Amino acid sequence: MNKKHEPIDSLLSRQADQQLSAVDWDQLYGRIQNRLDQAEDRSHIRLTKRRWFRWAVGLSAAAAGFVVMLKLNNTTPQPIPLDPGRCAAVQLIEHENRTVAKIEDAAATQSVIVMEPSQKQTVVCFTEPQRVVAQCNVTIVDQNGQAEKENNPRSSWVMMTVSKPAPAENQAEKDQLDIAFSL
Amino acid sequence: MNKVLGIDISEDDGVSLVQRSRAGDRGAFDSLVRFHQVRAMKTALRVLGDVHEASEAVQDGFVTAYLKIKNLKDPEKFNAWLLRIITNAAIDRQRAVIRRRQRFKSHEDVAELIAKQCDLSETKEIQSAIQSAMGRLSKNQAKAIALFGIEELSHKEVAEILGCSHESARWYVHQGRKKLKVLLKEYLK
Repeated sequence: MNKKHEPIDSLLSRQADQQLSAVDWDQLYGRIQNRLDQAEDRSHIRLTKRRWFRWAVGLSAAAAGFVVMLKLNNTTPQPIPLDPGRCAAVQLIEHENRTVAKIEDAAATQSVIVMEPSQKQTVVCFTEPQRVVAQCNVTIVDQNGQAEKENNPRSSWVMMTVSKPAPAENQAEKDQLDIAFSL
Repeated sequence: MNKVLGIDISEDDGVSLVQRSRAGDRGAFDSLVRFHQVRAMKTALRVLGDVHEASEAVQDGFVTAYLKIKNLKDPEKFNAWLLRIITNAAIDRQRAVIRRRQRFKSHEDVAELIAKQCDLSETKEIQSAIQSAMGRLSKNQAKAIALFGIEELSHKEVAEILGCSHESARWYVHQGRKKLKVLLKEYLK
């Protein structure tokens, strides 16, 4: 469909055409090029600044993450209150059995654990090294509650770890608690 | 083939230039400038009525187009997209001119300033009157009037550039013409 032109359109066109005839197109093109060059320069500067900014942000985030990791690694687990009479599961490395250890005395950094005399052997709790969080003294007692003498000095220690409680079969075992000690 | 200022561009070449420009080829964009600057200038001139202001608007428009060409999804729509940018740049310039003129206290000051600045021949008088009249149209009316006068653009293309329906575009043209007939009646005799 052809566009219908009215006298007003003709007036506007005439004036525009008259002015257009006087335009120096090469000069206009040159001015546009200059403006585009300036826009490109500004764009490059903005891009460079943005890159440096991203670098700075990335580096700061990495440094912050590193500091947080160091803090976490150095954090020692809080001691769980250990009440006398509470039990903990201990694995006997030599016999590969689990038994119940009774806590006789509890302190912030040291506990005395009395082992039921199911075994008369030295009690050593073996765990994966990375799960070891504490060390405590163990006293092995006999049925009368008398401490057995330890001939091997190395047997006087046991390593306790945080682990899932063994399935409870009796009330004593139900009192078992995963214990974490402060070093 | 389209030939403007010594540049031969087929439609396929045009699309290829747009695609290369989007990929960052400055040389391709320069060719697009060469090809489109006449139509851009025509459009801006019809809005502004002044060569100097139209030239500034065209420069503004091409810079905007260069910076935003990556946003253009369909290279075949480059013409309409560019003219939209140019008309918007021209309208912005027009508003700036109006604000500048409004700083003067009275109409007499404006007339005195114009008389001092240029030889007020009849042609210049008409140009000044057109400039003033176009400034009194709404943005859409001014854009529609300017684009409607570009011979190469169809009604559909005008509506596309304005971002409205065909009927709305015709309405803007109708209303714009109606106002201009009143404002420029002296020059229509």
